[in-house]
Amino acid sequence: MKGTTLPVEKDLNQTLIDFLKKGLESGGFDAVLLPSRVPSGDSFAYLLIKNPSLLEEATPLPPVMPVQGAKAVSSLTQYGKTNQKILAAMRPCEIRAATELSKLKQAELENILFLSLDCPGALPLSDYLENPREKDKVFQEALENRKTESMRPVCQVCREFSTTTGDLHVGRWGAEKGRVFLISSSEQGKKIQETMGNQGDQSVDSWESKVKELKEQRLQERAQFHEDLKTKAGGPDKLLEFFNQCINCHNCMRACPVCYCRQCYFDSEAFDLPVDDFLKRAKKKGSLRLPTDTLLFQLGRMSHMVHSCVSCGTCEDACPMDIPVAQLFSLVADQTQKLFQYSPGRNREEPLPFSVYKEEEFHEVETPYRKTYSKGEGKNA
Amino acid sequence: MSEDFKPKIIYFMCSWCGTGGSETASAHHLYYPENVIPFRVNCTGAISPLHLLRAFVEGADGIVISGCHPGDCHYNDGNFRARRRVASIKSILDSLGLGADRVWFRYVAHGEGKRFADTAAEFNEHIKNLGPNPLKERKET
Amino acid sequence: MTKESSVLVYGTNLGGYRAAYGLCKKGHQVILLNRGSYVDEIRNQTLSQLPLDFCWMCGHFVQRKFKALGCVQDFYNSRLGEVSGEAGNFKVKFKTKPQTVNNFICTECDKCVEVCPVKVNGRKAIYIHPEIGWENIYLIDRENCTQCKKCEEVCPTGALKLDREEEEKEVNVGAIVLALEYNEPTDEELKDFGLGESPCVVKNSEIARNSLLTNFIQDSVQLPSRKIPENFSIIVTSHFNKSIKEYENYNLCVSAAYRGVKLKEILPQSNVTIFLKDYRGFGKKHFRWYQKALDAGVQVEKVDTLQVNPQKKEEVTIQYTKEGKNRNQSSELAILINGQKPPQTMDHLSKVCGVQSDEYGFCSTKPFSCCETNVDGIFGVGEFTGPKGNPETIWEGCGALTEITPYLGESNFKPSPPPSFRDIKGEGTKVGVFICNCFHTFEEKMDLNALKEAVNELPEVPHVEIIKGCCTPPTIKETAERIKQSGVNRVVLAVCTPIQKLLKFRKAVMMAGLNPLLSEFLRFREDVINVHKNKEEMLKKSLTLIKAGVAKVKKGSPEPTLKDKFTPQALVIGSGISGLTSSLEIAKRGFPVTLVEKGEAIQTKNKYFDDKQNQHLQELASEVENHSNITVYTNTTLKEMDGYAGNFSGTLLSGDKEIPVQAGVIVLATGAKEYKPEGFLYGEDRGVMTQTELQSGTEEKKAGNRVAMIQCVGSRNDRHPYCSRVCCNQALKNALNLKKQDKEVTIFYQDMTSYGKEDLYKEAQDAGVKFIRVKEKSYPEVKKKGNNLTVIAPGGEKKQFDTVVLSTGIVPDIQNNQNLSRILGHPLDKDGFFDSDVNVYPYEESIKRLFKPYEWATNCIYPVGLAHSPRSFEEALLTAKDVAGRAVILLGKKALPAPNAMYIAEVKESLCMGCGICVDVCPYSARTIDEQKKTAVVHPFLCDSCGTCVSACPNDASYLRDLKGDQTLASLDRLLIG
Repeated sequence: MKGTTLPVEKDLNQTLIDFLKKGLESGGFDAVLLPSRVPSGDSFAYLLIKNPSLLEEATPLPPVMPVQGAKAVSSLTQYGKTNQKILAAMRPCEIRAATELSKLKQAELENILFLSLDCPGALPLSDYLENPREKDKVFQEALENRKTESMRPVCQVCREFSTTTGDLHVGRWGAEKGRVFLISSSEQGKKIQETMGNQGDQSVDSWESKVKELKEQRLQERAQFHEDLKTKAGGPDKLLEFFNQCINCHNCMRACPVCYCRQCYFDSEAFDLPVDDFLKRAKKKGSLRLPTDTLLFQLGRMSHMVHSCVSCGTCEDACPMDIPVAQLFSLVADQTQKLFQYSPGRNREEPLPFSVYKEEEFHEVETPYRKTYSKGEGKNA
Repeated sequence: MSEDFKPKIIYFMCSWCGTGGSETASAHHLYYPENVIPFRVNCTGAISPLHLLRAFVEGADGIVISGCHPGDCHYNDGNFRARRRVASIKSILDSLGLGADRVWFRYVAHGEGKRFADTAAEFNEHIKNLGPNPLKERKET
Repeated sequence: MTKESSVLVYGTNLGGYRAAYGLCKKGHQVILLNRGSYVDEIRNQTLSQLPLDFCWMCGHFVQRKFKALGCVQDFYNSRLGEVSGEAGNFKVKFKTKPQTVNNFICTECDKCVEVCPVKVNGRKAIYIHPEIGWENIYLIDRENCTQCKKCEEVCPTGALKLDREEEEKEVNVGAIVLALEYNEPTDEELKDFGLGESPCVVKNSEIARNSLLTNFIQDSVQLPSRKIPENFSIIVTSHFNKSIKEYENYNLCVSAAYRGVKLKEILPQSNVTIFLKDYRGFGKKHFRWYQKALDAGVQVEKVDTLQVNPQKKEEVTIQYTKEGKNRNQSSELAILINGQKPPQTMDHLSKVCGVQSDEYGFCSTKPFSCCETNVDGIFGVGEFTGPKGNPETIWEGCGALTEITPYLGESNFKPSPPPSFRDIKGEGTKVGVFICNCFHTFEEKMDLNALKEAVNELPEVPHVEIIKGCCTPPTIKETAERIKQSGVNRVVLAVCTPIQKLLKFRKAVMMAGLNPLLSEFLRFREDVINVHKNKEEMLKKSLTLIKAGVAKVKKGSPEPTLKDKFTPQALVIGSGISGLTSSLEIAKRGFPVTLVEKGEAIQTKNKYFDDKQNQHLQELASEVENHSNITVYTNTTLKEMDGYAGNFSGTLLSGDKEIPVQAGVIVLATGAKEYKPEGFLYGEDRGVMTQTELQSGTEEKKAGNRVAMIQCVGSRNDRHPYCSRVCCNQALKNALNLKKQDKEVTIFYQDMTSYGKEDLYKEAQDAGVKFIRVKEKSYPEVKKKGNNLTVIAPGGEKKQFDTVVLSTGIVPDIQNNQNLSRILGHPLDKDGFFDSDVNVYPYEESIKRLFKPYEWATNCIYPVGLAHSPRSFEEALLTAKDVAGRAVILLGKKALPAPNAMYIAEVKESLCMGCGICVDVCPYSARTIDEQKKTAVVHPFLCDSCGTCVSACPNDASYLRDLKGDQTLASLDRLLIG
C-alpha cells in the first residue's frame, strides 16, 4: 500500500476535519457522513454534511460509539444507492459491519467511500455519560499516549483496529511525530488523493510493520482474554450466571448493526404463548423465571448473526444492566468464524456462510456409523 | 449416572430419507427406546437453528438430526446446508461449554431402518452416559 | 379407424418407467407389465450395476402416484403373448397372475406373519422381503408353506390370496414400449474370477443390496468366518472376461472408484486395489470421482490380463499381467463389477412382435431416432437396446414421448378434480383426533381406549374417535364421513404413513370438505406401535405426539392451490444438431418455436460429423427452415431475459434491431468448442495436426507413413479435469483408416475411453495399432529433428514419426456460456458447462436427480448437447429429444399448478427485509427479490416446499404453508413440555 502524510497540528480531529473540508471543496466527494457532538455536548450522532463550513463542528473520532456507523450507512442507502459520492468517516468495525449489511442488501455501498483510521478503541458509553468532559480528556490522553486501558474491554483486545477495508485510511502507527499517514487502500482512494493534489505514492512501510507487530500482540491478548472468559462464563451454570441480570429488553439486538430485521423473531407472535404453557414449564422445572426465554434469545441471536459479528461492542454499550455481552459474542464469533474461514467485512464479494456450501466439508459434524451388527434382527429373525 | 435416567431425545428428521429410515425400522420391527421422540420437517435444510436451541434450552437432553445421504437429498442440497447449520450451532454450544456432543448429525437413507434404530439406541446410551442436560432443570430459560 | 390412446409398457427398466411417467402426464393411460412378482424382482440396469447405498424410492414414487390416480394399471407375473394390428391399433394378448399379496391394498399390518404356523430358517413361511427397503413386500416360501390359509383368513383387506390363477388378457393400445431389463453374466461366465468358488469373491451389487438396512459398513464386507478383511481387490470384469463379451457402460469404472472410496471410508487402514484396463468414466464429475479414489489412497492397477485364483481359507490371488510381466497379489475379498449381456428376451420378442436385433444381440433402433424399432409403433428403450447408463436411459424414456405420441389418439385420462372445501371462516377452532386401529391390529399392542380417554381430557380437542383404517377405498370413505359428521374443522389422523399412503390420508380429509393444510398425519404405527414394547411408555409417547399434532393444526390456515398462466412457446438458442432436433420435435407437436442462431445461417454441415450424420443434419435444417411453427432468427443473440419458468419474456438483438420474445421454456443448445492445442509444435510444424484436420483429408494435412497420436490433449488436466468423451473413438477410427492404407500408427494414451457395442479398441489392437501408455496428467514431448518428428514419452522412450496427430478435447465456450448464464440466471458447473441441476454428486445418474425433477425444476431452462457436457453425437441427440419430451409435457398445459398444490412457501411481506438469503439457498430458483417492494417473492410453481428458505430466514418472514414458524414452535413445545 502507498499513501501520503498529513500534519497533525492541533489534534487528530482537526487534521481530519481539514482533510475532509478540502476534499469536499475540491470535489473529491460530494458529501461527508461522520459523527458529530450533539448540541448538549454529552453524546454523538452521525451527520450527513453537504456544507463544508459545518464540518468544523464534527468529531471524526469521537470517544464513544453511541450509534454504530453501519446503521447510519444502512439508513441512508437501504432503499437504493446514492448517486453522489459520500465519504463516510468511521471506525474499522463500523465499515466492516456496513460491508456485512451490504451483503444482506441492507446497504448499497456503491458511491460510498470509506475513510477508516487506526482505531484507539472507544470508551464504555456508560462511563462516558457519567462525566463527559472528564472522559473527553481521558480519551484525548489515551489517544496521545496510545494507551488502551480505559477503553471498552472488547476494544482492548480488538484485532481489527487497523483493518483497511475502506478507500482511505488514516494511520497513526509508525508515523513521524506530528504527522499521520493517509493511506489509499483502494483505487477510489487513490483517485481522491489525486483530485486533492496529494502525493499518494509514498511508502507506508513503517506503518505496516508497526501494525503487524501490534496485531500479533493483540492476537495473543485476545486469545488469553477469551480463554479467561471461557473459564468465567463457560458451562450451563456459569453462563446463566453471566446472564443473570438480563432483563430481556432486547436492547443489544436493537443496537447491533448486523441485526437487521424489522421485527426480531423473539418479539414475534410465535412467542405469544398461553398462560398454560408457562404453568406447565413451571411445573416441570419447579419454578420459571419471567420474562422467559432470555438465554434462548441470546443463543438464538447468536445463531443468527454470529458469522457477521464484528465485535464492535455496541451491544454491550446498549445493555442497561452492564452485562458484558459483546465479550461473550466475540468469543463465540471468533470460534465460529474461524470454523467457516469467514471474516465479516473482509471482502464485499465473500458470500455469507449460510448462502453457500461445499460438498466436501464439515465431515467432523457427521457422526460416523461404523458399527458392526449381527444380521437378521427383527421380525423376520 | 442414575439407572432410572430416561433422557428426552428429540429426533429431527427429514420427511424423505430420515422418515423413511424410521418407517423401515418399523417395517422390520426394530425396537428402540420410547424416549426418542420424532420431529419431522420436510428437509433437514429446513431445520432452523432456533428449533435446535429451543429443544436444547427447553428440556431435551439430546438432539439427533437425520437426513438423506450427501448427493441424495430429495431437494438437491438441503442436507449440505443443514450440515453447515449444525456445524455453526455446535460451534456456538461448544464455545459456551454447553455440550456440543449432545447434538448428533447422521445420514439415514430410506432403506436404512437398522441404521435408524441403531442411531436412536446408540444416542440414547450416549446421552445416558452424559447425564441430564443441566439446562432443563433451571428456572432460567 | 380412430387411434388408440393407451400405451403398453413391457418391462421395468428406467426408460420404461420414465416413458410411463411422461405418458401419464400427457393424459395417456399406461398398462405396465412386470415379468416379476413384485416391483423389483427383475433387476434393471440401475439395480444391478449401481452401488445401491442410496435411496431410490423416488423412482417408484411416480408410479405409485399415477397408479393411485388411476392412470397406470400394472400387472405382475406377466408375459407378452400375441401382438396383432398395426401402429395406433395394436391388439395385445398377455398372460398375467396377480400378486399373492397385493401390495397396493396391503396395509402391512403383519397379521399374516403372526398367524403363520411354519417356522423355517428363523422366519415364517410368509415373510417380508429382506432387501426391499422402501415398501414391505410379503413373500411366500412355497416349499414350506402348508397351505393352511390362516394368513388368508386374517388378512383384513383381502390383499392376500394364496391361490391365484393365471389369466389371459387382451388390450387395445396405440403403441408398445419394450423396456426389458438387464441380463447379468452367470456365475459360470464369471468363473475366471472365482465367483461361486470362493467365499471371498462377491459381486458389487450384492454387497450393496445386502447392506440396505444399514448402508455400507464394516459388516457389509464380513467374511464367513466373521473376519473383517483388510486387503481388497475391486475388479472390473468386463475388461478381462475371456468367456463372454460383457458390454460396458461408463458406470462400471465409476462404480469401482466409488466402492474404493467407500471402503477407505469404513476401513481407513485397509489396502484397496482397483484392477481395470482403462479408467473409462466421462460425463459430469465422473472423472473427478476417480481422482477422489486416488486421493483417498486407493491403488489403481491398469493391467492387461487378469484371473482370480481362489486359495485355501479366506484368500484369493489376483494373477495379472502388466507391461508384459506376470504378477500376483493376494487379497481377502475380491469385489466384482460386471457388465451386461444382450437381452435374453430378444428371441421371444422377435417372434411375438417382429422387432429385430442388431449384430450384437440387442434390439436394434433406427438411426437418429431415440427408440424407434423396425416395427412402427413399437419402441425399445434403455438397456434393451444397448449398454447404457442411467442418464441415457432416462433421456430415452422422456424422448420416447415425442416419438410415441404421433401414433396415439386423443388423451384418455384426466385426473378427477379435487373436491371443494368447506368455508370454515367464523367457526372457531375445532380439532378432531382420529386414531386408527388398523383393522383392530393395533389394539393388541396398545390400549387404544386409554389413549382415547387421555386425548379426551385435552381441553383443545372436542372430538376424538377410533377409526378402522384410512387406506382402502371403503375406509377412506368411511373416515371422510366420520370427519364430516363430527363437525370438526381441523383433523389429526394418528395412522401409519409409509410415504406412499400420504395421498390417501389427504384424500380422506379432502373428501370431508377440509383443506388438507388443516390436517396433520401422525406416524402412529411407525413411531410407536411397531418399534416399542413398553405399553405404558408407548401410551405416554402417543399422547405427546398427538398433543404436538393438535398444536400444529390449531394454527393451520386453509389456503388455496395456486395456478399460473403458461406461455405455450419455446425458445431455442443455438442451431446445431441438438438445437435443431429440439426445435423440430417441439414444433411438430404443434407449439411455436423461436430458434436463435448467432451465426449467419443455421447449421447444415459440421466438420466433426461423418457423411451420414451430415446428411441427417442437412435434412433437419431444411425441415426446420420450412416448418410453419418455427421462426428462425440468424445473426441474432439474446440481449435480456426476464420472468421465470413458463413466463419468460425478453429481447433478441439482431444487428441493431431489437425483437421481443416470449417463451414458456428455454432450450440452451449453444454447443461447445474444440480445444485449440498449445505446444506439441502445433502450428509450427505442418506434420503436427489435430484429428479433425487429419479427417478433413486435404493434401496439406495428409498423414505420412509413420503416425503418432497423442490422446487427452486439453482434457484430463488441471485446467479441464474431465474426459471429453469423443476423442478416443475418433482416434481409433482414424487409426483404423490409416492402418487400411498400410501406415504405421502408434497411440500415446492415458486411458482409452472406448466402449459400447462396437469394440474399436480391440479392432485397432488386432489391426496392429501400437499403444503406449503414458503416466496420467503427463504428455509426450514433440521435437523436430531434420525431417523427423521425435515423440519422447514421459518415461524417456523416443520414437521417430512423420506425422503427429493430437486428439483434442471439448471445451466449453466460456465467454458465451457466462454471458448466457448471467442473462438467464442459470448456473454453470465447475467446468463451465451449463448445469441442468444443482447437485450432481457423487453420480450424475443419481436417481433422485434424474427421476424426481418435475419438468420445471430447472426453471424450465434446459441445456442440451454439448452445452450440457461433452457428449457423443448420439447422446447429444438423446438430450435434445429428452428435453423436447419434457417441454411437450409442459407446453400443452394451459395453466400450471404448483407442484405440491397448496403446499408452498410464502413470504410475510411486513416482516421481510429483502436480505436475499432465501434467494441464495433456494434449490429451485423459486425465489427472487422484488426490487420495488424490497421483499422476497415466491414463484409458487417452482417451489417444491423443501423449507430451506424457512430456516435461512432469521425472523420467520419466510414460511411454509404447512409448517409456519408458530406451528413449528408450538408443536415442538408440546414434545418438550407436554
